[in-house]
Amino acid sequence: MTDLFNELRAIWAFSKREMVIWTSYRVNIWTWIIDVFINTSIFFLISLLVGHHLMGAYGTNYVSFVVIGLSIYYISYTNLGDPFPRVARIYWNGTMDLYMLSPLSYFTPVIGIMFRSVIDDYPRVGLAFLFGWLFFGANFTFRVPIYVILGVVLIGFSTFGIGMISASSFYLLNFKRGSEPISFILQDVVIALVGGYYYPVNVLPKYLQILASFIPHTYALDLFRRALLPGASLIQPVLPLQYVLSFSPIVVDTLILTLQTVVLFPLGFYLYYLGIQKARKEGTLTRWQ
Amino acid sequence: MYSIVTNSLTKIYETVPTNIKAHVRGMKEQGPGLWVKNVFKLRTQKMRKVVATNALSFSVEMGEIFGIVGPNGAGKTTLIKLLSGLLYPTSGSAKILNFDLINDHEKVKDKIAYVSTSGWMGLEWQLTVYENLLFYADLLRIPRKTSKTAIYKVINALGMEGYLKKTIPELSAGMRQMLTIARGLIADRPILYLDEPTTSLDPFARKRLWDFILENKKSRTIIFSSHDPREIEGYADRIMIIKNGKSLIVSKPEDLLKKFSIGQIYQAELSNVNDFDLDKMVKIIDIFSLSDKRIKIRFSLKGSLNDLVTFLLSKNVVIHNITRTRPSISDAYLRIVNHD
Repeated sequence: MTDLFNELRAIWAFSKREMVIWTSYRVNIWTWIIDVFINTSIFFLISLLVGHHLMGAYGTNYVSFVVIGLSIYYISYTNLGDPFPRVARIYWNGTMDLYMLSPLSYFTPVIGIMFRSVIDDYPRVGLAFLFGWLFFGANFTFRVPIYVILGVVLIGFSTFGIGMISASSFYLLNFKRGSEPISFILQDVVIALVGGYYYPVNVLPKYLQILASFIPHTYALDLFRRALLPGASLIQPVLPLQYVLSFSPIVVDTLILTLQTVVLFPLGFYLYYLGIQKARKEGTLTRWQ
Repeated sequence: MYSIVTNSLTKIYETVPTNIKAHVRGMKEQGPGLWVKNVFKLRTQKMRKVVATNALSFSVEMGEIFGIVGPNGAGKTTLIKLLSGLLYPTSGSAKILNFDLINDHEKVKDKIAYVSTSGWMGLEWQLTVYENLLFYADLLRIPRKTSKTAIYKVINALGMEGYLKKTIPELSAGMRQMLTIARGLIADRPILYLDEPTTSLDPFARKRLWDFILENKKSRTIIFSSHDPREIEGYADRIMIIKNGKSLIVSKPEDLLKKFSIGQIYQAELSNVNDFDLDKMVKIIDIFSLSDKRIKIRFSLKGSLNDLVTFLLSKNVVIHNITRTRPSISDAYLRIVNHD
């Protein structure tokens, strides 16, 4: 219990520090709000161009559909994309040795330092919903709230698990500089193409739909759209596994997300642990030898 | 009270008092603050050699100040990183306060503090001096009730009271280094590693630092490295000289002086020293340039002083003065390192 308290205290210390750093860049807040506004308006303009077409099980409002896509994109961008650069920052700043010699778990510094990403990116979700609703005609309902809450938790943990797998490559595969191929391939190639941020997955060719079945985003987006979009169906299957499994689509989404979280989250942390151990053996843990 | 454990380094073993030797022969892995056996030879990583320490064996008592000295690249930083558990050795074992350095590393972390030579790089640049220390107090699990007191104690001792509200970019290089040191001292751990701690510090700051360390010596074992033997001479209870990752000797400073500073040391200020072979006449210990033409030189004689003076005059060298000086640890150090 004391250990847990100390880890939480350290995470809180990191969070406070990240908050000070974040607020020290005063222009940040304005560019941040404008960025979300522009992103939402772009998709509104696209929706004007293509019209509010029927989107099958997801109702008819494309702006609402995309606001949910953007929200998951922001969460994923943070949880999946940020652990690697955060570990790199710790390493290149020369603080890895101090953190590793502090009586903390290996993971606390990474979790703590992720707070900057959280304050930078998570509120964008709320802003996307707000701007979509205020200016661009998005509307939402709030059905099956328990599934929505579960979905938020599961997509958070599963994407963070992938993020930690990506971060582990810093030491495990010695990707010390530039972009990191795991998050690039997953986030910028596979998920960007088949995750369904901006279009329903069932418009993709069958083989890409099967590829989409392996990523958490597909199920989270399906779950949130069914639960939050007015007129969306809770029973009409869209994803390949929803045709195979004889549960309601939203239950299938939750089950698969749970399974992916149970695998990805511990795997990410385990690989990161292995990476640190490897670095300690090879003498590459800290920047200065 | 010193005990040193060794298998092959007989020079080290010679310095062990007899009553301790009996204990050491039994290889009882207990007692001293730090105990190292046949550590370390780290593997090479692909094309580049990562680490520079060969098999070392030694131990350090509680309350002892143990200085590691060696030329650049000798392996001082690597050894300290190994002793702190940041790097894994490929062989041997080490214990800190009876905890195995590798297997019990989580427990060891509560016992050690580490100040690295490049530690200022890791300071939090947007935070003030006080916020930096408070942040690390939280990470180091210093109870909130006592952290403020601990911070002020160290800050006052190091003469940094006027800098508490300054951010890192507002500090001089020396003050950044002081803050790095303060960060290591606030936790009041029983084992303190200082890797070249006085780099960038002016003589006053150095003195303040060492005064504080000496005041708290009884409760701590301090292992510090330096490439300046003069600094170590003043503060270390024992010295380990390392070169190319090998321990050349472990000794008390006074014993080192007795053993390796045999013969008289001279100091001379000379002008018009051109490119001739001074090595034939003297063994040069140190040379300082005083101006374009004037140098100060420390040396021991190979022949007589008269021969040297005659030689210098024959080369048109202007002799400003020649004096006898007291042998120092620097002389012994250079002798040991150069004769390795």
